[in-house]
Amino acid sequence: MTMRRNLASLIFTVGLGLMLVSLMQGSHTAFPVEVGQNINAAGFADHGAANLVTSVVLGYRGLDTLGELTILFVAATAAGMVLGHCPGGSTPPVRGGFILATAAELLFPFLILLGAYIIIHGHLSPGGGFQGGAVIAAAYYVPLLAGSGRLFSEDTGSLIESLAGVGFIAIGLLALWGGGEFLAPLYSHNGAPGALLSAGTLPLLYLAVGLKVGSELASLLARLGGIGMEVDDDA
Amino acid sequence: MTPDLLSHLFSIASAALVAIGLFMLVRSHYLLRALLGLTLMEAGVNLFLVSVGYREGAAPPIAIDGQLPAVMVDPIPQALILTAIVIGVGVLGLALALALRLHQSEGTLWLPRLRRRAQSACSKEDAA
Amino acid sequence: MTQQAILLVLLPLIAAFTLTPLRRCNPVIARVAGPAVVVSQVMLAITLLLHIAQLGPEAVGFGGFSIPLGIAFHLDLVGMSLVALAGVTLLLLWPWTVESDSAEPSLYLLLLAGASGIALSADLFNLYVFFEVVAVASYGLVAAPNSGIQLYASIRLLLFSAAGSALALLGIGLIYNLGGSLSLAHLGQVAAQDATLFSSVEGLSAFTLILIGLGVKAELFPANHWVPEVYGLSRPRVSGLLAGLVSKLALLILLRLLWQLYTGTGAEVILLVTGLVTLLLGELAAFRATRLREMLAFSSIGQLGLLAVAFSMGNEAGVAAGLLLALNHLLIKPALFLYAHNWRAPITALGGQAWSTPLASALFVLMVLSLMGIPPLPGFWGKYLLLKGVLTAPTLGMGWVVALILFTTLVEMIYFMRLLTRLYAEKSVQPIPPLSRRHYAPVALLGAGLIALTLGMGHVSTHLEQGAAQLLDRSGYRDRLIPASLRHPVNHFQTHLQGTARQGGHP
Repeated sequence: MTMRRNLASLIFTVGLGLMLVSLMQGSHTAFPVEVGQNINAAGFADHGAANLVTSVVLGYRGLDTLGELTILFVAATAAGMVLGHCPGGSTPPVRGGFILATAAELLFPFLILLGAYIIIHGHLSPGGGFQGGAVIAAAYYVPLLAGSGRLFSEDTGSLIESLAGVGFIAIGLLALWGGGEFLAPLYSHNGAPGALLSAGTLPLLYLAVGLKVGSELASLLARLGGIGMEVDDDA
Repeated sequence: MTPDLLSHLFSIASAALVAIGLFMLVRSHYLLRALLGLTLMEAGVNLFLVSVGYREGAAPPIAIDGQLPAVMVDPIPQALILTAIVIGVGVLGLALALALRLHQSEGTLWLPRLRRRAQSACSKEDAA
Repeated sequence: MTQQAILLVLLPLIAAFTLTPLRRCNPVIARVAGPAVVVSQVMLAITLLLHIAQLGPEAVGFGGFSIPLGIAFHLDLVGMSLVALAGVTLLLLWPWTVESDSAEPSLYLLLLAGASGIALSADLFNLYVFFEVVAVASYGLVAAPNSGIQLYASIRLLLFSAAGSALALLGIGLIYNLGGSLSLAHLGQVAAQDATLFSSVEGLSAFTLILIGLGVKAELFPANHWVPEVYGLSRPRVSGLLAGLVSKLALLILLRLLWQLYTGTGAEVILLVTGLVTLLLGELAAFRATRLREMLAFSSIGQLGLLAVAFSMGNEAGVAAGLLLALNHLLIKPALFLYAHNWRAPITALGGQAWSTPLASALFVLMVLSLMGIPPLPGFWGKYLLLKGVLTAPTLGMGWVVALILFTTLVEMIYFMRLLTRLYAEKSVQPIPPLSRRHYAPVALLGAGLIALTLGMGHVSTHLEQGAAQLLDRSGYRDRLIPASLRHPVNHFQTHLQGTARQGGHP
């Protein structure tokens, strides 16, 4: 019985896979999708950012990025709500011994530095607010894993989080009140292309994104890591 | 490896990831395995999206020393999967938080058992 | 003026972002800030609605980029009314009684921001992002009481919904691969030039994937297994929000996608069949339900199936009927779920409960009658218009659709009449008040809304027809959104796109 069911699901999966492969075949015909090519042609002039993906993420599709920040915020808020009401309080994380703890503390400033570098070079090279924010969150999570105590303060985190979110919207609204449209690029022609101080407001937007993502992920991980979980009985 | 085979590999790999992920999601009785399936599915979709923007012999759309490469891949799918990945992380984080608390209060993540408990709780509430 | 439309999304967002720190500074201000922001958002929506009603729909771009490079909003009657209705519904079901440190008000605000984005956005991926905002907020709302059972309901919803979103994203990727754009207007233009583009296997698969993905929240057939469980376990106002508001948002996305991109491709038949199957299965399951909450959950599935049928008709009468039925359902379902909270015993044990509170029970009867479609009530006009739409549909004038709608209406009448006769049976010894005290106000206001809708039917129907006409007006949509320089067929951009798209669609 079980075997027949497994066989049936195997056939189903393989069939589904084959169907999807045939659907996705079109993807390798490599016709130049014109909108993307137009962005490749105009993006540099529009935003002055060396990284065109950044000008799509924060410029052309900036509203998506705001939505995405919102989703992360909703998820962190909901997770905080779910985890916040622990009846027994959070059990202390497992202690990881002297070597791990010291290494984690040594690693902390370097990770923060790396994250900050990735965030502020987001308009020049691969990387940006999301990637850098994730590295910063990791910087706070590594000590927690190693058991050297928590460095992350939830109050400060939530304050940074809301300031960064409001900052992103405020930069967008500046353009709106200046007579333009929401999230229009400002000062995009100051500074030489490829220089750190270029691309107008894009690096500021990415800084807001990085701070928000960093503090949200860090608080999520801190809360998840703060709760012990016994080995499951059914696994 | 010829570029043709490479692009076939993209579609085969992404289709396989979606199919395996969906299978795991539907058939798993254990919550964490179902979440793993969900993650695989999202990875497959993201791989497909990024392969949509792939161009033969194209460079990343990034200017080096103020000069853009002649042929660049489509930047839009890259921006889209950046968004999709973050959404996936957020949903996964929330799902793990729910799973943790569920395990704390019910002592199990075995889905059929949870379903039975939910049904009996529903009818008990009704009788009260 | 219309540039301010973005504030409909931003106002609740800013409030939600700042609510947590604000709560630490001054809990009293934090408590009133949420509702105050919703009220101002609704007022802004109404102002913009009046503006649109006077001057016609308008497009709003962002970042100073034209379609198809950037994202744009399209402000029309239906979208803007939905924004206002979403605000009002959230206000009626606002969590007034939660403790001051609860995150629920934030989730409500975020849900509102997402709903506004869905109602207005004209970009496929942007719609997906806002839809995810709404989806994640709803997982949080279901889980909020934090007991094991509600956590399970939330996980169940999350698994279904996230898998659906992944499939929908796959569909969006396929559409981008075919049409090379994400803007609904631009894709519509591409489709108009190459009629076979979206009627290909890839095109229709993309539609089906999005239909399944959004069908999770729209409670459509293959993806609605979560409905009875989640509605049975979560709190009544959350069930009401999901059934009343969130499902309509998913349907609006499908409606826009269908009539901007997929006109005449056969996709409407897919939606029609899905709707009919959903309708039939939902009503038959409701017929067998033994508890009020279960009955309401299944009847909600049936109603949404009916909406899908209406929206697949593609004529003004059909879409207007769908809008009216959607409005009817949005007003009634949240109220009925509030009733079901106290009347949660098996229906057989509810004998004679109606006599204990005549007024509240009368309102309940009125709502149920409108759901069934009894003459002077909006539900009747909705079903009447729908039948008219089916009979005059260009290609789908099929008798069996009419027969199925009439049959399910009959089923609906039987199970609701059975419920009502039970409620008005012999006086019971143990009266159960139908509503908790804090539920009286929202139910009364929703009931007042229903009565107002009934009285103002003539007035509303012209607006509904106008809204339906705007939804079906493809060329107007494109003219407003796509800049003039891209509209001429001689334009290099377009001819090139057409050539390459054809090559991509049919290798």
